[in-house]
Amino acid sequence: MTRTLRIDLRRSSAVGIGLLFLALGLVALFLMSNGDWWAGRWTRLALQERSLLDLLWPLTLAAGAWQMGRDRRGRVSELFASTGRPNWQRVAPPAVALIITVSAAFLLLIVAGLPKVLPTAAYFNPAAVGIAAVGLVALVAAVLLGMAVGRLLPSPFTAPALAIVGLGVMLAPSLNTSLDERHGRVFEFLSPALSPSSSDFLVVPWRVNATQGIWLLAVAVTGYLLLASAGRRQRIIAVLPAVLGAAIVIPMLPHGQWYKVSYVPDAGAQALVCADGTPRVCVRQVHAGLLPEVVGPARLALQRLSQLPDPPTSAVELTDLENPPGDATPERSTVGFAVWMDDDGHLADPAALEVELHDVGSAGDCPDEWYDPRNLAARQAAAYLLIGRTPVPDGSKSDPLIADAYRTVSALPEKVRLQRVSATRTAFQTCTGDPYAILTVDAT
Amino acid sequence: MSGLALHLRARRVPTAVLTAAASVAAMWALWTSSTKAPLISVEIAALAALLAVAALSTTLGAADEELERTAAVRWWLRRGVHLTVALAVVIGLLLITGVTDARFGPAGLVLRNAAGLLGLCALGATLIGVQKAWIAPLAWTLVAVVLRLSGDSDRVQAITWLIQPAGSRAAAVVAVVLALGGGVAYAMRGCPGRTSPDPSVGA
Repeated sequence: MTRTLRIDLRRSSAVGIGLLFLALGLVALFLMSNGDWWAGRWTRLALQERSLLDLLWPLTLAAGAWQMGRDRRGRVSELFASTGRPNWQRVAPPAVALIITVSAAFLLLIVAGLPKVLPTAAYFNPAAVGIAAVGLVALVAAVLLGMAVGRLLPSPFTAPALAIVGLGVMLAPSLNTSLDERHGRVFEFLSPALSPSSSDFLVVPWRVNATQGIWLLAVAVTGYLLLASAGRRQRIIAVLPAVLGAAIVIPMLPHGQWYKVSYVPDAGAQALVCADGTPRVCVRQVHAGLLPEVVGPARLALQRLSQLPDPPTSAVELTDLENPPGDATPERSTVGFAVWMDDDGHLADPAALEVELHDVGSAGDCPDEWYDPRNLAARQAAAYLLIGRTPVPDGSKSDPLIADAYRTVSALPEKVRLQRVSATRTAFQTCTGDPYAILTVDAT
Repeated sequence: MSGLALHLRARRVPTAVLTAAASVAAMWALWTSSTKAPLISVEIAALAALLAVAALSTTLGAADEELERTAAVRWWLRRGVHLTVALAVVIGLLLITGVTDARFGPAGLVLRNAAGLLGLCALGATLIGVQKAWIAPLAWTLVAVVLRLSGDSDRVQAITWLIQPAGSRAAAVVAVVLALGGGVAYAMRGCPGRTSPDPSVGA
């Protein structure tokens, strides 16, 4: 076995397939996706590797089917059929060789992501290992399933057609809207695809990873049994593990809409990490690497805001989830802000963060219509006035309004300027009046 | 039997054309069963073109290239005509859906995708052999369909040329380069001889 495996690794197309996967995966990982989706975050790196499967999983199926056609292409099927060695022994070395190279390509793609994650990552949830492990099991299942199909349907067209079927399995859950909740949930679970998460504070729970891993293992066993089967009875037996696996795990699935059960809030990622000293400046654990970059601007902003009456005394990162633990609603004594990571896991767009830290309109709990371009312009202009910097147009509808307001008010004496900003802040806190007019028009 | 019939049989053309037709029909059925929209989406159109091209790619090589080359005929002309007819078959299979409620189109897009993919396939057949000719078209199609690229720079348009609208110039350039490069290379050189040991011939 070891000797034939070594020959297979040296002489078969397994290594070539692994290299092709590595090349395609690197292209997808670096040239085509934005590193700011996953740089500096372990969970996001694992999710990014899983989304590579949209491309690699169909190709793995095709590679398996292609590998199985080599006896036919070499015109040695009859010769090999005449040997005494049982089929399950003969198919093992090429299957193991392909599993080794495809898995190695997948693991190397994780290693390739490390330089962007290791230097700045501050939070590691072990569930990330589970997320990536399910991807690995999915690839093993695809190799064996692909080889089995290649054996049952011997044709040069099998491999490309199987890839398209595999693509359908990967993409259908995200395209499909016609199934009802229950069936849609089962379908999304059975597919190795994982829709990308929308937040740094979510994680795929262990239960989902474990059940999906068990199901894919059952598929892999079925693939191998089909590959080794001889005769109809053995083929029927071969299908049993997948059927049993599905029968066992489907009742174990968590209830509810799939995107809500496949991603749950990650309490560890949301824990607050605060800088030493006062005033208090905190970010969430998953962004703790950004704290040194945030502390300076945040304390400067608090110092500037202290010129206003009843000023905020601390700055805390918000989460984009509905019910973050700790501080549920933004309080008036706290400046809430959001941080984003860039391509290298550092703070993205410090200028936008600076404006957000000086936002006088975020603390109130105003109705939705308060978020119109005119009110947003008032908030932005007030922030720029506090900073003392000419507004930078960002291409939004509010740009001319912001520029106008800044030009008008910045010409006034400092005391009046602060009064106007303070009045605007009060308007937002109480949701009364027209903040833009309060900021720009002389009331006296 | 006439030379033409012999050629078609030697390349297993009937099976390949039937397979291509069946896969185009399958993609068409997939679309009509899930939506009522009359114009099939570019992604499904790209996959249908890929499947048709992959099916016909098996006809690009002979059972024994070395043996065939000893015949005193103008192989470059035959290969060129074979490839052109294959292109016409792919385009015909896709455009014939115009008589139904859901069609592949517009014609410019179908022509571009079919020509580019078939050219890439022919290039693959020339370089790595007819049995692996489908690999590059499949990989490129999956890359174009799966990776949702943002932006419309020339680079992005060139990488995802298969799913660009018919008016995209970068996509058209890529398709023309692939079609001409692959077509000319295949017509001039043909497929490499068999490299794996073949017991029926010797070594």
